[in-house]
Parts: sequence; C-alpha cells; structure tokens
Amino acid sequence: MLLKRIIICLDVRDGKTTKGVRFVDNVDIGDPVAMAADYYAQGVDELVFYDITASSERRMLFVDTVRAVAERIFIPFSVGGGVGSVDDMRAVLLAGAEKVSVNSQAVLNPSLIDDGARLFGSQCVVVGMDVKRDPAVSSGFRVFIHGGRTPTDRDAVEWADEVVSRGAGEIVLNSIDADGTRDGYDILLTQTISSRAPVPVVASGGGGTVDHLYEVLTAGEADAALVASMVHYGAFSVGEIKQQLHSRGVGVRV
Amino acid sequence: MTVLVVDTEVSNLRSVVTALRALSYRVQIIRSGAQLRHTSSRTLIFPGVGDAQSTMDSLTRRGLDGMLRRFIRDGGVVLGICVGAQLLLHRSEERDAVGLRVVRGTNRRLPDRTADGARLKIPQIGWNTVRARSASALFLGIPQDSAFYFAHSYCMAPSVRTEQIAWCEYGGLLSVAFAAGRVYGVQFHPEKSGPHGLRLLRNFVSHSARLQCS
Repeated sequence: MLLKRIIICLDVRDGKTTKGVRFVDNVDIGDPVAMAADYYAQGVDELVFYDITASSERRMLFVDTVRAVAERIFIPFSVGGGVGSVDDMRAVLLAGAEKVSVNSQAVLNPSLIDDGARLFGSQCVVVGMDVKRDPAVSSGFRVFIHGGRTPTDRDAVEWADEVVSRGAGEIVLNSIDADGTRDGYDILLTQTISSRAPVPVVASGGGGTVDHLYEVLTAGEADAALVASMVHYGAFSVGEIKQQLHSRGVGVRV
Repeated sequence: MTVLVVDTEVSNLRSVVTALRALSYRVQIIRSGAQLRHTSSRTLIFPGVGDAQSTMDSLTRRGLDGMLRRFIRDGGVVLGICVGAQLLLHRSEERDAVGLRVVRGTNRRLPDRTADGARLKIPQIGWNTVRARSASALFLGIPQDSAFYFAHSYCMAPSVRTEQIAWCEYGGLLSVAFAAGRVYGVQFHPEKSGPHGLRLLRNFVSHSARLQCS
C-alpha cells in the first residue's frame, strides 16, 4: 500500500538553513547538509530544499549544497527557489536532486512546466503553490508569488488544474495564512485541491503537532505533509511523529 | 569489484554512483558501446528516469543497445532500475517504445482507477511496501513489507510468472521486480530507498560476484 510521506523542508539562504514565520523575520538555524544527514538517519521519507531569497533577489542556485546533500543521503529530495529555466532544472537534477520545484516562475511562464516535464519527465517536476484565502476569487483561494508577497489574479483550483494538464507530477500546496504558525494546516484548502488533482499533493504550512499531521493526511486527503518548525526546533523527532501516526492507523514508513 | 553504470544521458546516474561508492565499490561509467566492449567487469547497473523512448534513442545512438545485449549473452549480470528495468523488456505502451527485448514482457501505463472504481493518482510517487519471493537473492536480509521508493507512470508486466519476484499493491497487484537468468530489474529506486535499498544494491553486486565464480 502506498504510504503517506513525512517530508522535512529546509529553507536555505547563503548556505545556511533559516526559518521564518509568515514568510518574514528569517533566523539562521544550522548547516543544511548536516541537518539533512541527521534527518535521514532519523528515518524521514523525503527532504525539500528551498533557496528562499532566489525569487526576489535573483541569487544563483545553490548547486554545491545540493551536491553535498546528495553525497550523504539515500532518500529522495527536491530543490526549488528561483528555478526559472530548463537549464536551472537540469543543473539541480544533475547535482543529485530527484525533483525540481517551480513556483513563481511557473506562474509567470507556465510553459516552463511543459518543457520540464517533456525533457525530464513529470515525476521530476513539482509545482509549488503559495495560497492565501481570499473571498474575491471564485474558489476562495488566491495564488501568490515571490515568496508569498505578490498577489496574482489566479484562482488556486484553476491553477492546480492547469499545472497538471501541463505535466506537473506533483503539487506542493503551501498555505500562506498557516505557514510558520504551528497552528495546523489549512484542511479545507488541502482537501479541495487534493481531492481534485490526479497527481500527489503535499500539504505545507502550519504543521505543529501530530494531530495536525493526522488531520491533513486523513480529512485533508493529502498524500504527504511538509514539516519544518515542528522538527527544526527539536520539539518532535521523526521517529516520534511516525510512531504516533502509525499507532493511529496512518500508513507511514517505520 | 568494479560495477559498471550505464550513462543514459537523459537521467541522473549520480545517485546510483554515490550509493555504490558508499558501499565501497569501484564504479566505471559506461558511455558507449565501445567502452562496454573493452571492460572486463561483468556487473552492470542500468539506471533510468523519465522517458523510455528518449533513453532508448540515447542507447542506440552510442551503440549501447547491441553491446548491452551482447554483454548479457556473454554472461554479464545486469540490474535495471525503473526505466532501465522497463527497457530490458520487449516493449512499452509509452509512445510505443521498443525495448532491448532481453526479457519477455511489456510495460503498461498505470491504471487511473482501482478495481472498485476509486481514483488512483499517477505517477505513483512515494514509498510502497514490497513483498518478494522468499528465495530471492536480491532481497536477502530485507524484511517482507519493507518500503521502497517509487516514482513511475508505467509498470512492468514480465510475461513469465516465475520471473516475477516481487510485488506491491497500487490499484491492484503490481509486479515490481523480475529475475530472468542473469538479468534483474526493479521498478523502484534502491539508491533512494534508504538502508533497505542500499542492502538490495549490495545483494545484487555480491550475487553477481557469486554467479561469475560458479
């Protein structure tokens, strides 16, 4: 049976892992390569690395960090942050990432998704979406870009449909409202997108307790959940999270 | 022990190479038919991600299709991974790609519904539990229902039942590994499946060494 995945997200700036609340006030919290090796040893299913300054400040991709991580861990990981061309995608994949994630650049230039899927395969192309509740759009969920700072006129449900038709193999759905709060995922948002999408959907934003994870993986119908604050500050270990989910009947790799 | 790894140009072989080096094996990357003809190693891994036809075209362009068949005929031991495994079979529904035709079977697109009509997401991405035949050399020391990492839209259907050696459940029973003489194939990515995946790679190389001694 396909298991639900627990994925740890590391935001990286200037080669250091960093964490913020609601996309502001970033604080350095450690070396991404060492953290990756530690989480791998703890049994995490997958990792995601985002170069978080990339979209707004146009930094070069952190290929050296990717390569160093690939030498140390034998689980899948994806990389994103400012990926704007198939050359960027190729650099990340050749450095050792399984998947490359596109977000703002996919909204600004949607054929990036089609090109990536055609060249590398859908399973390599993840589309990240930053979404905020907004009654002014038809589904009630508006797509934002540039690290969640810039609103677009895109409806999240329509955008999710479009990225799938263009060849995205997976969607990482981030709630801007919930991000960093540790108060729970946006269950309605997740369920709305995941029940409709024919590709795996990863819930992101707000994970703070095992209850939150349980909720988003069951009621939220997410195929996987991203955690960050919950593990980076040592409140929970990967083992604890998985044991508790397993004992509550959620199929996870233990 | 030197393990050969085929560079298919369209996929990432770095993960497989890194895993093999972490297991202390020497690795030689094979980029052409000529290179394969001149190596003395008889243990080869054929990784693959992405598009089956592009991968096949890449092999043909460099004379690797014929040389891989010859390598196998001459007693070489091969492990195909994901698209690599699929290409060892005869053909694929994916753009009607024709494979290396070394092992009898085809590849089919994953169904988008389960037998009772529930929607199935494609590609299958994530960890799924695998059951293997108990005597299988590839799975030695790996507990039943261990999870391996999958990322695929097409699945293998080896024709000969006794050559199917492992299965997972995804919308029905899927064949996820085969063993046909000295040719092995796995649908999942052992280089991305944590400690059990590394154990499988080690089992393959050890088994290959044993086969060559006998």
